[in-house]
Amino acid sequence: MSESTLVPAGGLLAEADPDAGLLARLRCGDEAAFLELVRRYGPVMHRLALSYVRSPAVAEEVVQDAWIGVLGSLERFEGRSSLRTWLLRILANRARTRGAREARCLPFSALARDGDDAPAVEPDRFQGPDGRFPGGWAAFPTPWDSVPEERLLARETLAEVDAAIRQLPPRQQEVIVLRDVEGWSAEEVCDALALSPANQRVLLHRARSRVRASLERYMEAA
Amino acid sequence: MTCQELVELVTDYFDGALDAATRAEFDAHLAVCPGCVTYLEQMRTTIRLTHDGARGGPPRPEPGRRRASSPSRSCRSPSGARTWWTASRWSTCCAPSGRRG
Repeated sequence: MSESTLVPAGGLLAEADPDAGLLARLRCGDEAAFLELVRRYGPVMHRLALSYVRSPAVAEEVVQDAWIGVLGSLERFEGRSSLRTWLLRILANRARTRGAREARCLPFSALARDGDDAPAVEPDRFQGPDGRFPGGWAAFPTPWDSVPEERLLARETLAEVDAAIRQLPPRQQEVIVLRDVEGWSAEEVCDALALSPANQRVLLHRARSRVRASLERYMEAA
Repeated sequence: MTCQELVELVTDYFDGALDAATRAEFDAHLAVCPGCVTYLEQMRTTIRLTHDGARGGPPRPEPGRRRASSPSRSCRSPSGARTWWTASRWSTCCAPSGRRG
């Protein structure tokens, strides 16, 4: 008997979930399907775990722990969300718990505020109330289109982006990694991280704005 | 809408989350403000580099991935397909081993 006959074809789920085929195989106990799942989502899970804990080794433990949780509850997965948002939800919960435990041992200054309301652009870049155009640019930002593509994509530039992301508060990192690095939709990210759409956009906006500011400093220093 | 207000709405703008009136103001502002056009371009470039950077940037250690995805001996028991994924069994045959420190 072939495994596919044991589980009904995914129907709607097959369209919505890129992993629907894997899920059917996982439910049949197909070990290769599990390894494929680890291959697909291990890296992003590790990356997300790193936004909450500081060392790669601890992040790895969190990921392992999450996989064990996944294996233990796979039979209860009802397919109301996509498989990957469910995976990420399990990972995020464990990473937050572990991160909170770690945070109690860190100096207070190491705890960045997630819901910070820092502006996207420093206020002194805009004209004050006495300017000709209050709230208008004091000096226009310098376009990057004169920067050659090779320099934009140079290792150093990308390393700058990466460093900027790693300095973001954890919740901002989670959102920018899923939205902009992994290319997930806003809906999926809200689902995986239990965020309201508005909150998701605020976190993403703070994250992108800070990465842009880092890139701007980097471009101007060159 | 001032430039200082516009820069706070860029993500909402990209996500199509602005109401029609605000979006119209946003577009009208862009039509007359080269500084904000540049800013919007910089945000687009930032998003593109965030995507490319994480994939093409310096390799990061991902020990879990390398070891877990490397071919391992089969965990499947001869008698039943479902037994392999019991957590203890998985961690003994598929999980990274030999973690130090």
